[in-house]
Amino acid sequence: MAVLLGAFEQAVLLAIVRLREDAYGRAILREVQTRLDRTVAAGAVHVTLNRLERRALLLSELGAGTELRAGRPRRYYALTTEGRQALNQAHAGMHQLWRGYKPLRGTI
Amino acid sequence: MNHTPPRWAEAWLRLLLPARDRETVSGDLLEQYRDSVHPTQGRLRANAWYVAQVGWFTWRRCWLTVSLLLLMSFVSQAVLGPWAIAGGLGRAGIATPVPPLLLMVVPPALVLLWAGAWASWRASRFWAGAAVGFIASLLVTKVLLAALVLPFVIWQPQLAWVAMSWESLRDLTLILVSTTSAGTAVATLGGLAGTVARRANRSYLGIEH
Repeated sequence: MAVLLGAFEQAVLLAIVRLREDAYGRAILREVQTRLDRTVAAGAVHVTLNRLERRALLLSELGAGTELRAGRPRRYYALTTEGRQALNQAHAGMHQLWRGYKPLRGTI
Repeated sequence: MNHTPPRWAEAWLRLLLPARDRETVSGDLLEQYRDSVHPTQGRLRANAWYVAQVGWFTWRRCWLTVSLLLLMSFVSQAVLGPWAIAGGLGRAGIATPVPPLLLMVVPPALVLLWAGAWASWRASRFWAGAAVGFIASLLVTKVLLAALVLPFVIWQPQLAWVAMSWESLRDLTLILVSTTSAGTAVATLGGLAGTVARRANRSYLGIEH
């Protein structure tokens, strides 16, 4: 059965794909903000990450802390096979939805 | 130089966060505060930013409790209000049912008990339940008091001075303090239950404290 992803969930998953090995909370937040071109609450990203992990679309592991973080560890995220499939399905669904569309005259 | 956000806000955040996310999420916020917000916006605005982030987490933890309590308050006003009037008629000698005041107290208390227990369970901290109870009671009481006073101010401005008088403000403050204290106390009891249940569960699963 297809896993349905919301727009924000897609943005978070795409950020993790783009960041590769550097996908931890703050970096994901920055990437999502850049791509969506708006300010996003850090909590919104963390809540979404937890939800995606509960749905087995993500897995995470702890990394070392830095002095800037007062030694607190980073949690790094990566897509699971289910996560990759869900993202591919979302992309295919979006492509199908927009196929054949030409921008309406006078609206751009 | 490593600047630090307000200590109380950081302590509050760590109190509300689940044990699993406590270090990582507070670390992410601290890193952003030190690395980008403080250098570009200065101390005051950076502190305001940090408090807003903590507020987001607080609201996330409390919104369901606040919504349930507000819903109950409005339902009890709509359903039990006429019943209470009928009770008044009963005291005047007309046979009517007695207004069930327990129905106006027990459901909100149960919601606060549940919220306190759930918060303490999630955060693995006893005081998380009390914190959620305090914030939820404070917000709900403020909304209800505003709902009580604002109609006078809007539709009967000539009576607004009554609401703004010293005695009225004293009474409103008394209501705010007493309901918030009661709500916090009930949620603290829930927090106690949540903490005990959490420890019992961890002992049962053989996890070290």
